[in-house]
Amino acid sequence: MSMKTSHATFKERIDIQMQDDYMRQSVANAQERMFTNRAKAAEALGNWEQWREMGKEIRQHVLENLDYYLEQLSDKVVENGGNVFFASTAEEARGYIEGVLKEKKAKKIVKSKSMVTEEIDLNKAIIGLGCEVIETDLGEYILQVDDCDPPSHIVVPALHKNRTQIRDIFKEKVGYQGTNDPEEMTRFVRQHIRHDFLEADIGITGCNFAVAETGTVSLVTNEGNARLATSLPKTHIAVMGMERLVPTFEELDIVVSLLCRSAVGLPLTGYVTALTGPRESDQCDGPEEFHLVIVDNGRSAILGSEFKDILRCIRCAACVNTCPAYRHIGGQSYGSIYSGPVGAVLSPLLGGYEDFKELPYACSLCQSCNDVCPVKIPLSDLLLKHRRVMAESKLTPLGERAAAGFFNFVNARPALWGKTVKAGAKVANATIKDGKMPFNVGPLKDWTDSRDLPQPDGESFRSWFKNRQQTKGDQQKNEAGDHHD
Amino acid sequence: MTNPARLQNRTAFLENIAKVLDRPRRTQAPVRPALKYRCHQEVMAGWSPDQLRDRLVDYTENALGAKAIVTTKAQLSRVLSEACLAYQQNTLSDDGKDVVLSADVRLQAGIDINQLTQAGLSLYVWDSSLGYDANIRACERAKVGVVFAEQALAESGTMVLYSQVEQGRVISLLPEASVFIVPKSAIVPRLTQATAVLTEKAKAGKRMPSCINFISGPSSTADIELIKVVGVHGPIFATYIILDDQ
Amino acid sequence: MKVNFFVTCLCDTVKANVAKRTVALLEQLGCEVIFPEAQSCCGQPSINSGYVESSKPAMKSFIRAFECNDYPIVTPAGSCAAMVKAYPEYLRNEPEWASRAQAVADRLFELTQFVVRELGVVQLGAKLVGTAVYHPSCSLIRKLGVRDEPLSLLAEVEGLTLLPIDNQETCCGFGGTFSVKMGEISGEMVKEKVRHMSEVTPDYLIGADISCLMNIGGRLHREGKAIKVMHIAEVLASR
Ligand code: SF4
Repeated sequence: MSMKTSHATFKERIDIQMQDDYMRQSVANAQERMFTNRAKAAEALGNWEQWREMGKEIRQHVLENLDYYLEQLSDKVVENGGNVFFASTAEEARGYIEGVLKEKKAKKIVKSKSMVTEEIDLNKAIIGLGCEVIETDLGEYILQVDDCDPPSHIVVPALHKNRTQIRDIFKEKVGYQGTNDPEEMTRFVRQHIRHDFLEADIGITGCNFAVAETGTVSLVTNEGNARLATSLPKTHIAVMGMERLVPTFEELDIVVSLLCRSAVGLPLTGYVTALTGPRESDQCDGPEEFHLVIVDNGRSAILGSEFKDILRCIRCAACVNTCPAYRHIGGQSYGSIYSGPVGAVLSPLLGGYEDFKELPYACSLCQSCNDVCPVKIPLSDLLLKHRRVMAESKLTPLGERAAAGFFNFVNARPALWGKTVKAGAKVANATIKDGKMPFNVGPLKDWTDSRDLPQPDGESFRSWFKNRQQTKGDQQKNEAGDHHD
Repeated sequence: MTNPARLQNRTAFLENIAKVLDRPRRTQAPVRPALKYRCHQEVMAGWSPDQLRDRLVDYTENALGAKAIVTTKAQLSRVLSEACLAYQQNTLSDDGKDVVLSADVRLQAGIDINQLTQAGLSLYVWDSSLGYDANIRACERAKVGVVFAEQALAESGTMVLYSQVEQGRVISLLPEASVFIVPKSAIVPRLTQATAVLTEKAKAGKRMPSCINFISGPSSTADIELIKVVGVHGPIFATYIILDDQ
Repeated sequence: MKVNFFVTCLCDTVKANVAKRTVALLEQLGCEVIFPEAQSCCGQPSINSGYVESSKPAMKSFIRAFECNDYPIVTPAGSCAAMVKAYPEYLRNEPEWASRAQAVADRLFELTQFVVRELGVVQLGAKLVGTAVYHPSCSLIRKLGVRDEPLSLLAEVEGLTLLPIDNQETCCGFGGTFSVKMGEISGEMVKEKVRHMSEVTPDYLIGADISCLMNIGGRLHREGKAIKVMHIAEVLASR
């Protein structure tokens, strides 16, 4: 799967998705549960704002000194006996990993959940080499088995599917015979792919945070698949976005705590695993060979732009879980592996406006995402920045640009504006009857598809106020006159 | 200093970062600003060992769906064999009956192997010198893996494990049930105290253990309809044995 | 005390009664209300669509209009207040204008904020019998940080009971041009808001942002719901 997950237009996608009642119900329930869990976990700490502030500062400091920390990290990894490849592009990253696979004559690869490997479309490259690749995170496994259905959530990728759909997929594709009970299906997958872990030549993982000082890669997980993938195969390849690191274990504490509470509402997930290089020579499990692939793929351009705050992101999905637009359109509508507010900011940056130009508008600017982000990314401000970039580089529709130009022309001229308001009030008053207009075109139609128009109150306020002041003035004059008489 | 074949494309990559940051390449360690607040240090600060133990037990039993047993060193062999026997009866399939024991000296010094065998358990003690296959096979067939934890985190019901020659990664991973043994004195409030130990190690120039695990209960997932299912690829059951007099 | 009134374009053109009530309320509290005629729209429709550069002349015109005196500026709309408070950031590259914008922004208050925080009044002698859902608009709670002020004013209204609803603080789906540009999504959001409101069958819907009230009210009207939509200024003027 690459960044882009669909060839349909945005409107086509949301039309389809909004018909999917199961998905919508499931997303709504999930949002509420995850939102509440997060809020409770944050509350339990008592000083969440201080934690967020620390998270923001740590991530900010890393970004400002990214070259230094990446140098330190890579030196350490090599010192510990690992290999490091810096990949400027997705092709370079894939090329290097293909090289390792070939050198190891790998046949089978087990993967644990990693967004960046999806971003660089790694699975396709692996399959292209004639290797078998198994996504072992349960959610990712479901999607892979379902002919690589795109993920709909950055933490819970198969959120849009219900248990019966999953049962049917398993039945058809992997010979599952059981019921739609989640526990039974989970156990089935456990048994079904256990041998893959044991047979795999290579384990590929992402990296939640690397620790620069020690050359460590940390993974924050629940299922145990990432542990298997980094304990059994002889080779471990970790792929990380170049910004995903912290200076020392001291900062790791803070960001991992923020991530677990924000993502799943727990003080820690089931497994936080900190891996440093290949195994020591006197130990017998764990990989003999370790490769760290550090991926730029558009990130440095973001770092040098007004969008750099988004690189603080720790992929917790708290913003997704609170977003009212996501709630109604679901993750697949975004057409990107990254959905919700973070996806709407990131996808146009990594994948270009051409494919993702609508996403920044799929937002009512309610700012609830800003409020929950554990590293205080001003997401809605960044979405506005996208709109600004598009408007100012003329990527917006001509009609819209003309309308904005006209509006701004009138609005900057007080006398003209005053007249327009007075006339507008008259027109509205004369035409809107019982919430409807006699004509219904363009933007008006988009409004009236789901709601009526307001009942106007009559003349404009400014006309009324002026009259009132005049009357008042006349009265005062009269009173004053009376007095002098 | 470093082998170039093992470190590729670095210079251009980092030069580019310096360029977009609009400054020369930073090669000296930047001043790492002290964390702005101490709220992470304040969690359960000043709690007594008993309070930390109670919190650990409470969280483990109520939030993690795992078992926590408080005992003494003298009782350990008995408690451990009971815990292992319980899993032998409860587990899902019936092939493989072994318990894999870590060879950690702290664990070995605390138990009487005879007492465990007399209780009817067949044991395998981790032995790195036998190599990958033998140890993996033993763990794969075993019902229970028994390990000794460096620390336990009260806040999150977490056991901290370092990979070491005597205690491989997979003992707490492949068997269906995990048993962790931890002395009460090793219970700390939260991740903060665990990472502090690692930061100290790093400052002293030591290499990190190749695999450090912070394990909170059995493996789990919520990937199907957000319903929590305990036991996915990792262990399905977990018991923590806390040595109250250690 | 003299105060300037910033009416906002929606109140000026279609909801003049809300503006009139606001003026009456301020006068009741002893304020002399000035209406600077040169005021125009805060520019939200254009600025929030990304046309920041071409909106700058209008921002400056707005600033000029309110530089006619030094008195506080009061407006019955959270979102318009929040917009003007963002001017200094937009005009950052023109320091002189940025500081003029800041001076205007500092004098600007949303109505309930002004009444409660500046005038220190919560009891206005209002009476409205029935049950109501209060909609805390995004602009008010998240952009301006005005959460308790409207509630403390409403708590003093005789006969009025506020009913909590599910997801109370979730956006109603208005979002300015979002409501037409992404009409489908906006429509689903307002439908859900109305569904949650209907569950508690209130007599009134009360809010402090006319745009949200138009949006939710438009949906209520479409569904034929007998819930009366009132701006908080109208509630506070009820006797
Ligand atoms: S943007 Fe913030 S809230 Fe959203 S995923 Fe990233 S860190 Fe989490």
